[in-house]
Amino acid sequence: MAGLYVHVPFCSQRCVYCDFYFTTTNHETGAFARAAAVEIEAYGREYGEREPLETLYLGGGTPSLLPLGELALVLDAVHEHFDTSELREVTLEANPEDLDATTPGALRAMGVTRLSLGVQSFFDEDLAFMNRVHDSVQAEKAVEWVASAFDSFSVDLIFGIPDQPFEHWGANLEKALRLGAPHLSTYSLTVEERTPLAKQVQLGRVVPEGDEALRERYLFTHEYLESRGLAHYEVSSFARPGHESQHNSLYWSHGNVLAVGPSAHAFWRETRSKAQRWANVAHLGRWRGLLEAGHLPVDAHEHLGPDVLADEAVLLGLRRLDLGLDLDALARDYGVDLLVERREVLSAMENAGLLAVRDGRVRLTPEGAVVADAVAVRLVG
Amino acid sequence: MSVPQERLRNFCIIAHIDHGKSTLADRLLEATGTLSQREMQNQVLDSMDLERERGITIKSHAIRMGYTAQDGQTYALNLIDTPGHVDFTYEVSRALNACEGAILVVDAAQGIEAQTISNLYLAMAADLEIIPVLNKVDLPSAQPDLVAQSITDLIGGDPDDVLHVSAKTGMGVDKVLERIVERVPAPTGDASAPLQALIFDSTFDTYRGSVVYIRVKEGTLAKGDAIEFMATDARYNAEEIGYLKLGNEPVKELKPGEVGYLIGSVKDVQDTRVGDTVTHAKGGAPEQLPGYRDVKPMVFSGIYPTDSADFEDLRAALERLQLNDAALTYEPETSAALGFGFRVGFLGMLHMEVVQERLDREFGLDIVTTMPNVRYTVELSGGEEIEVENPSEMPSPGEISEIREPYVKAQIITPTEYIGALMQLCQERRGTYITQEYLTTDRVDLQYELPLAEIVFDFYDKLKSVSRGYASFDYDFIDERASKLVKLDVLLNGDPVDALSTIVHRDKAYEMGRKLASKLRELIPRQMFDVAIQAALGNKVIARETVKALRKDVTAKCYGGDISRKRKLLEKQKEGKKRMKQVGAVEVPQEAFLAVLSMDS
Repeated sequence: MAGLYVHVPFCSQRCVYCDFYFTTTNHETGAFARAAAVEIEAYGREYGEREPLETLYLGGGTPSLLPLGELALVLDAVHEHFDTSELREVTLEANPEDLDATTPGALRAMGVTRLSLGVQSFFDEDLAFMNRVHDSVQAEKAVEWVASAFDSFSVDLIFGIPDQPFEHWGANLEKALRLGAPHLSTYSLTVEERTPLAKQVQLGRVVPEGDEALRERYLFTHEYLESRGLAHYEVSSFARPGHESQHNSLYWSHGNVLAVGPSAHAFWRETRSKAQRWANVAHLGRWRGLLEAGHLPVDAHEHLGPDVLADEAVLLGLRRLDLGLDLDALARDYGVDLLVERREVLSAMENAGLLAVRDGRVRLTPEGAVVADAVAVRLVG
Repeated sequence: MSVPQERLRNFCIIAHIDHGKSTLADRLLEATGTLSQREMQNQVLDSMDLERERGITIKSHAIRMGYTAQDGQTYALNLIDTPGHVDFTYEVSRALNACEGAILVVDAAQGIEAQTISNLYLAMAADLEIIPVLNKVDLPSAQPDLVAQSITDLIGGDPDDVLHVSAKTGMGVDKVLERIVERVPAPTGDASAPLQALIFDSTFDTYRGSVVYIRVKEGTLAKGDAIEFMATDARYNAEEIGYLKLGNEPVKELKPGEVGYLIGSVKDVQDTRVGDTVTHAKGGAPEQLPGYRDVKPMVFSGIYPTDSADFEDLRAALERLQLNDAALTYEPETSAALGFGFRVGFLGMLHMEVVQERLDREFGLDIVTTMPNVRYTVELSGGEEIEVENPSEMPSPGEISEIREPYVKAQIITPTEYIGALMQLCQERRGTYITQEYLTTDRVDLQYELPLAEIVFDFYDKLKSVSRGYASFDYDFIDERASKLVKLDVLLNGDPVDALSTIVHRDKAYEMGRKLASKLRELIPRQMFDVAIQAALGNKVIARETVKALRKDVTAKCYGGDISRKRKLLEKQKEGKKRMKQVGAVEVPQEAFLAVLSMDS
């Protein structure tokens, strides 16, 4: 079973924190869709027979900027060149400003099963700070329309916006729940290099929230959402039972994911202990040019051996708070036995309440999840 | 090129660091045609990278030059380069004993410094002819008359007789050569007497064993002779002997007064001790040359591999270093905190730094060095005496009747305006004032007796900072004295960390404990849980600090492209982690074990 990711690189404007590849040349969506269909066909020829598709994820950028006809072109190509008989989840990322009362229904009719809504906040001052296009009214409306058309959808929210009062964060969570979201992705605002936000921080115009405040919000989010029946199943993800993101779960379990579109990343496992990961060129024009010239638009390609895969497995496995890191698989696939090699560290961290070792799995507690990267460093070779 | 004994001249150069010793040496080599311009590499004599980088000499070298003097005769001049640092006083004294003369180089702007004076006294004690030279006379700030006067005040003679040189431009260098020929006495010695040759250094060659640098005092050493090293009773054959030029130049025999090298398949460098006498195995000299001393390390420190798997590599590296550095001692030791390592003995702090740096650079070893300490003599209540080179081996107070520590006599030369600050510094370091003498109207020679333990760490840096770099300093070991010393322990999360224990004076223990705990709090990074740092005297905790646990360290998003980025970061952090030592559950960075050194005291 494999996943397919399609990166739709268009945005109407730049969010202050974003370091993803995008372009504002939105008149080229048609050319993009046709090139994406070519790339889908190429991967279909090579991989289509090997494993049926289980998930399809259209991310961005802003996939909701793609006119429905062009979206259909992409979806048709997927159905034509891959075995989609077992396709369980088709997610599309959408921005509130791109939706009206009818779009969710139309998307649903085209086979999209799940929407991921980039709400980020229900407060206008937060949205303005982040340079989002939509306002709080649009955000709320959009969630209502999506909720009426989809059983499963996700709302993205960002915490740690400088000067955002604690109550606003709680209110954001509450509003998303009240509007019926069965899945929430809650991200702490991260200052990535080469973003407008980084520039503002550098100039001293913005002072990022301190670790203590972020930790407080993180742990509050856990408490609050769990008490409302959502499971904290991944570091930044909460879901009601059955609403976990199938596609993202592939990333966290080293599942095979093919990727289409500029800057998209693919992962494919050759054997138990050997895999490759590659990335497309991060430029719309060059990506298209390569495809039109009959080449795969791959830029960086790496082969991963057992050591590297083991490190990644730790890193990724720990992110799953529900499943945890599978120690038996780690020993079986890569010969890394953490129970032996990291016995002391594991027990020290268990005593400190950061994790639990049970049934051959390491599961982070919320207190462990908020320092998950530091835990990973201490567990890898 | 062999010359008769009366046309041999053996000399060394005495100078303070940066006063131009190496540059003058280069000019002499150039002027005598020993080196062509093409072969000139700045500061040829300092052949180790480390020496060249830091502008200091840590081993002795020699080079033979041919010089045709104004009298038309050709002379052979042996320049013996000596270490300049106080850590290596014994080595200096042996190298001086291989000479008949010394060029005293003084910076015409800076004047005489303590190091110069102590080496000058060594040279005078060895009865060397002193040729005073003022260097850098072309500097605008030079005060040649004043400095010349202060030199002749020390060594006697006429200030007008002091040579003026600019080693940088080469001005006056020819006069230095003539003066050497004129003033430095030809060596004495009887070619037919029993052989006595002084070892003033040795290096190790992987293929040929120890290469011993010698100065023949009496008798004649011929190629193939059966020889004996008198202090160690080791016997070898003189397979190859020769002159020390830029490379080695083999000869058939070395006569009295000659300086050269000796190779005899000597595999154990411990057999060739600096200061020992080489004689013939049969019909040898009845006595050693005077002045030989078994060199004893003064400063000790634990050296541990960061990764315990590197223990054997560390041992091999120390073995290799010792081949060229007989003063280095090491013994395996075990620390509860750091695992298997070595207690390494050094002549002083510079020696320690050099060894640490070589382990890192030449052997690529990641090591943890513990706080250096001196050797204590402990008298137990039962009357028995033990030597303690590792603070963690200090017996408990109840078993001790007395602890003695090494004392030194320190000589500080300073412009008068810093006397107050320097006296305060010496006082803080438990010093006892002895005397002060005015060298000139504005320069003072200040003398104190100080515990060695108080000067080995940062005394020199402090001295430089309170005197804005003007004061200079030298010391001599005098004796051991009883002191009120206690062991200061450090506990991390309640567990004592032996490698962090130090011996301190009782009156300073509380202050030290507080400072050490607070310094450790800065050095130990945040971890997965709180780390309690305690300083304790026996069972009594005297200071406490806490390193709070990490509050947040997690990547918000981890999807497709984030994963390899995240993994690369993880690999980098893994590397960083290698520089940490796991002590129980606590990760301690290497620097923490030297926290005392970086403490503000």
